[in-house]
Amino acid sequence: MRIEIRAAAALSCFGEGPEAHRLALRTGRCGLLQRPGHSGGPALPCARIGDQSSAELRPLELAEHTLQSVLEQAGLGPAERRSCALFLGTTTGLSATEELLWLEQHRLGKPWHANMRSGGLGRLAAVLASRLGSRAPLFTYTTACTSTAVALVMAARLVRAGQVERALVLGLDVLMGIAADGFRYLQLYSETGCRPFDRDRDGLQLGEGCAALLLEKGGSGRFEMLDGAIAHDSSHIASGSSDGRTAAGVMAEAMRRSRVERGSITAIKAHGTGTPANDLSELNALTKIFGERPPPFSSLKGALGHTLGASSALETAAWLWCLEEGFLPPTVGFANAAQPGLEPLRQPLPLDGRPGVHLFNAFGFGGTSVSYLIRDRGTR
Amino acid sequence: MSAHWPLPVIGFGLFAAAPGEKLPEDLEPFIELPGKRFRKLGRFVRLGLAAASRASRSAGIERFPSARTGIFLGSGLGNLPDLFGFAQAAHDLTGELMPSPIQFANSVGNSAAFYIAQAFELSGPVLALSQEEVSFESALISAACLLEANDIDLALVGALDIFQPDEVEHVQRMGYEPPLTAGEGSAWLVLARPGSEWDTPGALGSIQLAQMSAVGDPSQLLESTPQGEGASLWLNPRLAPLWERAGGRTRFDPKLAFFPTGNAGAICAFLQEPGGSGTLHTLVQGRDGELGHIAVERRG
Repeated sequence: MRIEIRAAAALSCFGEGPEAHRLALRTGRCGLLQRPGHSGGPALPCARIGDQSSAELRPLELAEHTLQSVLEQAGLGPAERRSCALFLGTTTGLSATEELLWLEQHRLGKPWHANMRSGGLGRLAAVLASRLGSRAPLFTYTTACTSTAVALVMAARLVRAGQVERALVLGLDVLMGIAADGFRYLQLYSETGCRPFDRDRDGLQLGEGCAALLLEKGGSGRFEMLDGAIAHDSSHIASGSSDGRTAAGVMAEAMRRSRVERGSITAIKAHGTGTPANDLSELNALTKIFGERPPPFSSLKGALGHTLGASSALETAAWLWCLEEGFLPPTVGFANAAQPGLEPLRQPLPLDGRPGVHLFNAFGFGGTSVSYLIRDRGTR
Repeated sequence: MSAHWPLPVIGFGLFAAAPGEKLPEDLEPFIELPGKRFRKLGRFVRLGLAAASRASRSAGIERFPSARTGIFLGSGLGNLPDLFGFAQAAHDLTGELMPSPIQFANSVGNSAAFYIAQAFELSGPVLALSQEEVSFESALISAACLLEANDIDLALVGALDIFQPDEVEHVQRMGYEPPLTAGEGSAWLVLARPGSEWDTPGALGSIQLAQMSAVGDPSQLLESTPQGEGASLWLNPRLAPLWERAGGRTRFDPKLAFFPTGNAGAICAFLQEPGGSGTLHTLVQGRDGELGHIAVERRG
């Protein structure tokens, strides 16, 4: 059964919608800027939505705005909206607003307590579903940086199985002081620049993002969600196996389930965080699967920052928008190959509307590893 | 949503405190962790490990098939103690607290699922979900989807919620008002794929149905559940007004009031009750209107 990606909407450091993202990615812009420290912490390079802290912009409003945008784009009426199941991926949900409130109290010597009554990470989906008028199921996946990759795979599975009629996949993460502090203490936050797959890479930099994709069965649109696979890497809670065996295995399984041969992969949207361990694992996995000459691959995190749970939804939307414009986006921040001959795209690669199949990777804390495939019918 | 059901239950595990009480700090998991790191983990992870290991023992499984077993963990509130602990240390104004990077890593939504998968040496899908009071339903439906698609043969489906920092704030965070009584705990089911080698006549029972919706009419749902001998019912506190209309059904009150995932505890308690065959229906409603329903059959 064909699963169509009927519409996509996204908001990031580059602004909103396809034009803003295509322009920035085609010209190799970097949205990571030195910003005052979050909540009194040290200044850090990060990619924010607008000049304000997104916590002040309110995550719920960002999410609702993005959902409305994708629904309007698809032209869904009230009856169709009722049948939209919601698949949310996030690491922060509504917590960013709560963190700001806590920090105010903390400065007054008070403990963090539950006066926000914001519930758990699933509260955002519950509120959004209620405002949307949905009567369908709702799921919030909280698998760290793979949250919306899991959401996309599970949404496609449940649509294909006839369990839900249509699926809205939403990713949202805004900057929180906790996350910035956590990556700094783990020595995974680069203060010099995010350089995915580069020989001299020394860490990730965080970004903010909100993106939504609408999946439906049937349709004749350009992009078809094929299948995907989810696997677990038990090596360490904060990094995958350096030999890349889990990452290679999940890519192979996603291709097998999608009935696509490795020689038919047009390009790869890599996870590519810029941390030494992730990129080593992913490069080794690419070599295991594709040999010394993998298909063109690129990471968007040097441009958009690492938007954590939102990253797969945001980067998928941005990647598809670039395909509509006829090019593959380059890896901003990359300069020198870590392994000779194994390097991501330095410049936009023209595809000129050729049909193809694209492989998307996501790996993260907690060991969850996800790959999925999207077929591009092209324009030729 | 009926295509996935029923699913055989071949084991279960439960650790739950009496309402209003905290679970002991020295929970033992019955399983070895690599490097014996169990005691360094926070309460959230340790509780999940302890209950999941009980489930594996109940199922009589010494070694799960690594790539063919999935973990699906639903938690309404997640690992707030590690998250808040790290935040408070990072912003400590007194200089007495030292932020622990591993505490930050352990605060991610899938940390408990990670350590359980590591302990059981699993390489299949490991998912963590958080959907308020329908968290366990969302985990069950996700598991059923991958069982039906033949991705896996076994699914460990769990629920896990603990106080942060105490019962009163736990209740408030869920949008209830004190003096409502809450508890904390973790409950796990081991489900087998129908037709797999694990689907044997010795199953303890089956999940007949799990469903949820963003909104719905709980009264209508209640009317659709069976009445009479052998029919039991568990409602979450938000549906307490419906008790009067429960009719001839047993008001199944296992004194496992931990929520938002308390229905998972009720299911485990129902399965371990002595007696003959029967059915349990759990109905839950969240504060934003989301509705969940699970039907369980216990074999005699």
